[in-house]
Amino acid sequence: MPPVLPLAVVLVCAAAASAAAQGLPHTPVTLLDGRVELSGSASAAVASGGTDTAFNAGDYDQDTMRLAEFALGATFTLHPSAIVTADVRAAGGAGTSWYVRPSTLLLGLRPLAGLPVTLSAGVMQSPFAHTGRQGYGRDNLLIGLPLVYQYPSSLRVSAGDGGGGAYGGYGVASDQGAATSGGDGSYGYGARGLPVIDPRGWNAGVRLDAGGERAGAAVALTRGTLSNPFSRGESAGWEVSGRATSQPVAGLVLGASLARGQYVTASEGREALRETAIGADGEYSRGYWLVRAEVVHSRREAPPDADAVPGIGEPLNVTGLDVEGRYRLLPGVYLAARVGHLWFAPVPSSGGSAGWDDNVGRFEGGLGWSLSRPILVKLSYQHNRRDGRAAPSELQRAAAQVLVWF
Amino acid sequence: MRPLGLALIAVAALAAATGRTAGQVEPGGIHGTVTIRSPLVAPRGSGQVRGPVREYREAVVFLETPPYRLEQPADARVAMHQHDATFEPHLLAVMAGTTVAFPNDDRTYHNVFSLSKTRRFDLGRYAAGRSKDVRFERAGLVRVFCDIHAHMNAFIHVFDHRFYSTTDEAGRYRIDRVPPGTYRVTAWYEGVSQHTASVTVAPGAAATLDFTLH
Repeated sequence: MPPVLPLAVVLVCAAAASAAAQGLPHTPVTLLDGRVELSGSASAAVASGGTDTAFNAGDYDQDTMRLAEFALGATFTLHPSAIVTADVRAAGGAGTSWYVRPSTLLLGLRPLAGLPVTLSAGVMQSPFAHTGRQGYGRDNLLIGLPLVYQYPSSLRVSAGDGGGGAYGGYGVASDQGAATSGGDGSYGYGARGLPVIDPRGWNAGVRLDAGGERAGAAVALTRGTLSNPFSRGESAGWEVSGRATSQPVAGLVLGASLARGQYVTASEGREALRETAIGADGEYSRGYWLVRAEVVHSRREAPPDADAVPGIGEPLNVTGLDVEGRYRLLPGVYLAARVGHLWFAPVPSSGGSAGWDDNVGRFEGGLGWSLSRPILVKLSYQHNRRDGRAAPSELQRAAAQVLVWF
Repeated sequence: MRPLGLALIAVAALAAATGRTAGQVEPGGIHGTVTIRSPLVAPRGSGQVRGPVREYREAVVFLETPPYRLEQPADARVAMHQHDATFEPHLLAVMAGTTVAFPNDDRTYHNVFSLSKTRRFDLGRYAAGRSKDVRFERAGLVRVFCDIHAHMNAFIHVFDHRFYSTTDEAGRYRIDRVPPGTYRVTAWYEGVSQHTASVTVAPGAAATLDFTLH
């Protein structure tokens, strides 16, 4: 499809949405005397180039640069010290399947009056890391996500039946083809390679939040891990993850994250595999500037019986770094850019040593234009690079997205 | 002649004090109460457990057909504070030419902006203790938001006349010094409810006009 056509489609949609903007809520909607609060968003994105689920992997076989997404969040205040938080998301697009599923369903309790301590239980996201957790809605400066949250590595938990349920084993693919199709021809969420952090899946467990804006911490014990959420299938084990934040001066937020758990549980014929991840993030904003940086290092045990792995049994290390910035040019108009890289550590191989996957990098730059408060149009250009291979044309993409939110 | 002179001076002084000269009609006023049947509740904007809810109860009442408009900008100055992640007051009514200060009284950053046609502005992020100004030249409605805290919102009504009033905590309003005549008066609430009614102001008298909204 010529790139002009999808852009025109987005602009027409944006114009129509702008015309209807007067009837859209501009803030979260409250019901039942404030006991229920609703927020939501809807977005549609189009992009040039071929379908690319390697660098812009969504759930299942979706290309996030060509995707329609809907999110609805609700909070129910049961009692001044008890609140239920729910978040349901749906996504799909032309030629791909649609899904609807919760990403959050939490009962939060504040047992100690006057103390900022909240204990929650239910379906949740890990508190680990920060930037990619804002991937939905207006907080994502661009259309793509940082590579740490999106790039499916060649490490995968294979699904023998092609679905997300029964797992016949696990393995490490030798080629990026695993990102779009399992070695057995399977094609689905559970068959894709594992990213360092999967921000779209959900885990189940308990979480403790303490502190406030100056300093705070969150710790979670969940079934399901950073790279292999529970929603991805039943192979995920238990994980402890946490993040501590500090705001030493206004506008500067520093965070540190840690996670350790089993991304594959032990079962008949296979051993448990553990992952350990550490992360650090920072955000500084002042005036019309916003800069974020995040580094994540992940170490995952490799399956000892994986056929295609060089250096059988060696831990698989990967480090990701993403830096992004935004400048507000005019009221409602901003420029943004993001650079990111994933370094896959070498493992012993017959030829000496080689990275267990090819290093990848990304630049994405673009602008955001708020037609009105609840309507944001994003235009971006994304340049992806994979070391050691010629970059096919679909790795350079122009994209447009219209987002309506409240 | 001295007593006569004193009397003339006294009359002139009285006329000056009341703003009238011989032949002018004494102005009246409009007052009443705006009842909000189902007040909107302010969103709190996060899943954190918090304290009691806050209701929006402020309304603005103004003449749709003012007897005259401003001949020059008001050049006044008022403030809309950012406190506990809310705008205080939530509703401001000002005359064109007024400068509104936006002091940040919180310990965190705020980023006040508006994309309203009446006045587009973006003050950027600034810290506690700092304040930035915006001058409103044109009449119209301005919706104000914080770019960081999605639940923060406020309204600023800019008028090119002085015949308006915001309600107090009891819903009362009062528009003074209205020349006698018949006017269309509008009560406005949060952009979701408004009502217009006619009222006749007699010389030196206060007309009563109550509204029930939403």
